[in-house]
Amino acid sequence: MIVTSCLAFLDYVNTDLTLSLPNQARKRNKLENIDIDRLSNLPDSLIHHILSLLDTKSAVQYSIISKTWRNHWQNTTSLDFDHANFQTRTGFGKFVRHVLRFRRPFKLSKLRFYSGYKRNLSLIDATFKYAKSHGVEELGTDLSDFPPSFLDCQTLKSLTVGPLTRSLYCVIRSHPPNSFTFSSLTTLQLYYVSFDFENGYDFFSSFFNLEKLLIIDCFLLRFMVFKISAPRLVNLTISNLRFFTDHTELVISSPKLRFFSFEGIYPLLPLNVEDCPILEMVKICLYCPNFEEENTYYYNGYLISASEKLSHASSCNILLNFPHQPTLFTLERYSHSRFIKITKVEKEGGCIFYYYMNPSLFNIGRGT
Amino acid sequence: MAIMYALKSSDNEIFEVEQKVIEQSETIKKMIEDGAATGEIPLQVSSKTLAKVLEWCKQRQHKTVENENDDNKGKRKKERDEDDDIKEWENKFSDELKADKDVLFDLLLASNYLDLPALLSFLCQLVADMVAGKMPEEIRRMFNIENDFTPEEEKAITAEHGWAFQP
Repeated sequence: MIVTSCLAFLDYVNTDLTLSLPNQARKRNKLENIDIDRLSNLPDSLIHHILSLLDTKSAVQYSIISKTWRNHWQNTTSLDFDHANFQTRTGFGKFVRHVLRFRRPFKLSKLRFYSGYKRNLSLIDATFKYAKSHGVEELGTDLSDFPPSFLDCQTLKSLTVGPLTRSLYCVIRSHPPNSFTFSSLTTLQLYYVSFDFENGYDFFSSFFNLEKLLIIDCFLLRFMVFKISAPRLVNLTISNLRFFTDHTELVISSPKLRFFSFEGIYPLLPLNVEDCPILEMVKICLYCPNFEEENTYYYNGYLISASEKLSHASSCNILLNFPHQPTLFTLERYSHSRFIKITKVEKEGGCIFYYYMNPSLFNIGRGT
Repeated sequence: MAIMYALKSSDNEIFEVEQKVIEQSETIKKMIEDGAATGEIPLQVSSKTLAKVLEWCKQRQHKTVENENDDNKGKRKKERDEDDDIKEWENKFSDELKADKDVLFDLLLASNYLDLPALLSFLCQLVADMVAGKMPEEIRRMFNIENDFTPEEEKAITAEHGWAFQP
């Protein structure tokens, strides 16, 4: 058994002439001082892999490089459509339709579809119908309303929503209820998306298998309580979530949550953590660009409140970033540092938060 | 004591490598599992290329081991430093390959043959970054690709794909 498989392997390596040929050919050609075309000589699968990493318009244009390149683009595993590569919407639409028509019917593992503010509904329908029927697993788009027929896409594992430029046209609303129910979805990333929700609308709870959620540079338009309660969420990152009304509050209630990272800027969004019994690592990073001494109590209160809510986490790291040296609490003694770090030390029957300016100096300890 | 394997390059150089390092290659991992990896393992990869492949594998292995041994304490900072180190290492690795495209292609073929998915993705991304935003003519020049279309054929194919050539 060992001998036969060994021989089979030797056969395999010996017949793999494609590997040794270019080397020999190159040596010969080097003598003649001619460089050979090694890119086109790669196995087709590698060329398809490379073209899958490019925007689809370039991949199609490369069909005129040479005869061997003519049909390579039809075999890519990803499609990348960006309206910004076209001067007109008609040109963009025509391009997408041609690609969907001529691409060979392989599985589509990844689709990027960015059609801009002005929507062409029939083009969107056609593209998403294609994506669903070709088993799309990864999708990046600036659409926040998907065609109804796409909503039950069973293959989708990773979804990224948000415009590529900083514009505000991506809005997710609670009315009509936005029923994204992608049952296989494990990763959701939202960039520059506005949430227009009723108070307490529990948008994320319908993502049953969601494990990783990123909410970056998003806006809370009008509600009071923004709730995140996906049942299997493990990893949550919220960065620069802006809000416009007082009494807005973030409530995180995800029983499987282990890693939580929160970055914010003044004014700070009140944070509530409920039902997150297995939180392991929390990282809070607050930027205070316009820090005034009279706000000391505000930050102080925020930190104490946040650290109380997170006191069951096994590691909690709170970082305050000031543009100038504050005299927060009694920190004037260490005012050469711009960073205050809070770490938690376990004590019998409780814990102490230490507000560090750097690891060797601590200022205030607080027992709970 | 780590289990070692001897890899023999196409120019008969022997490389002694730890099992954990070389098991990143699905091809060799399968041989080990099948019990076929006895004695020297002959590979159709030149010693120069194999050395480069192993450089990559060791770096990856190092990264995985460190992450496993880490506890929570100070992990954030350490992770950040390590990520920076890896980034720096990868940048240097990429720069060398960009400067010598022959090595890049040898490495691409070797990673395909040895079935090293992470290295293959890394290299394909590298080539994609090199061609991104370039016109077909620039790519021909960059990689010495002969344009075997007659001017008429090229005109015809451009017309046929007119929908892809609109600005």
